[in-house]
Amino acid sequence: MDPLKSFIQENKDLFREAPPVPGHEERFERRLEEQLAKTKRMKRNYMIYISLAASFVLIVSIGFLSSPCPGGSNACYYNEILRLSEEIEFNSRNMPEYRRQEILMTLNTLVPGSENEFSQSLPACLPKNELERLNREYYESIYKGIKEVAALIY
Amino acid sequence: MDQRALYRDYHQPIYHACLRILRSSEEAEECMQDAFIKLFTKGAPVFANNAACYAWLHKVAVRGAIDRLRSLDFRMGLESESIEGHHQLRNAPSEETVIGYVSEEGDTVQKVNMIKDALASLSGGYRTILSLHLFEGYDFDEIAQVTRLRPSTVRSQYARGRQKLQEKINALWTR
Repeated sequence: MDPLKSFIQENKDLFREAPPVPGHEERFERRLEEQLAKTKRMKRNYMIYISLAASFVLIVSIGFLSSPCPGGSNACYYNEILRLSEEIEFNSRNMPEYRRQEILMTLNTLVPGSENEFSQSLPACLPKNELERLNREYYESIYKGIKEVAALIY
Repeated sequence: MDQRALYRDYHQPIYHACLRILRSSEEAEECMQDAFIKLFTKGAPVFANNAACYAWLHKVAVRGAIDRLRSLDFRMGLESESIEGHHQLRNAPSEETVIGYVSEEGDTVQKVNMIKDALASLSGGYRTILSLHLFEGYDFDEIAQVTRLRPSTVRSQYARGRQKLQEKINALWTR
């Protein structure tokens, strides 16, 4: 063993440094209280942020799940439009004829011929993203319109 | 054991360990208290007994002291001979030549003061490694773990620091 180390171990008491400056215990208690208050505040804020984030996720997922086309593609909206128009046609069969004809004529003007009908009428120079957005918005608004028509039947 | 009793029982050795590394009573007090605050507020692990709790506190405090020392060194621009320095040991002294002074007869108190002065005058990096090994009883692997240095670097820094300490002791002795 290193003689210096043994010397230190043998005379450990003589190597003892001065004790902490008086009042250290009070200073410690003050620091501890401040830290505990800070931790409490942080925990509370953390809970608030977590609750807000959870609520946000819940709202977004409800909106996302209630949409028939979560991905938002125009093909999906087009298929939904066809399905809904067939449903309207079938459900309106017991309605007075003049009323039924009125509804079916409205449907005919609303339902697009194909899923690409609108994009074909757009200028080709548009960027792809913009083209997709316009397409999606177009079919989505038609879908919402047809849904309102369907609400008139039930 | 309640918080106050724990603090009263263990604050002194932890404070001394910090003080040997930092050489400032204010910094050492803050460092020691930081370890206790961490224990009381951040949910430290569950300890089997008080000795385990003390060992945990000691390690946290030493690590905190080393971090403080690094930041102090950085602020003061003391790059050379800091704990980060990867100095390779040249002409490592043999134990016999290094211990010369200490094994001589003489007044123990005088020797103790001389060793303390010599240790205090060393740079932070050497002082840390020597204090941890000589006073706290850490082995080189434990020092490497706590300082986040390679064990080989710790060994070479210890040998170099030990040599410097001996040179300082000899210089004080012949003064």
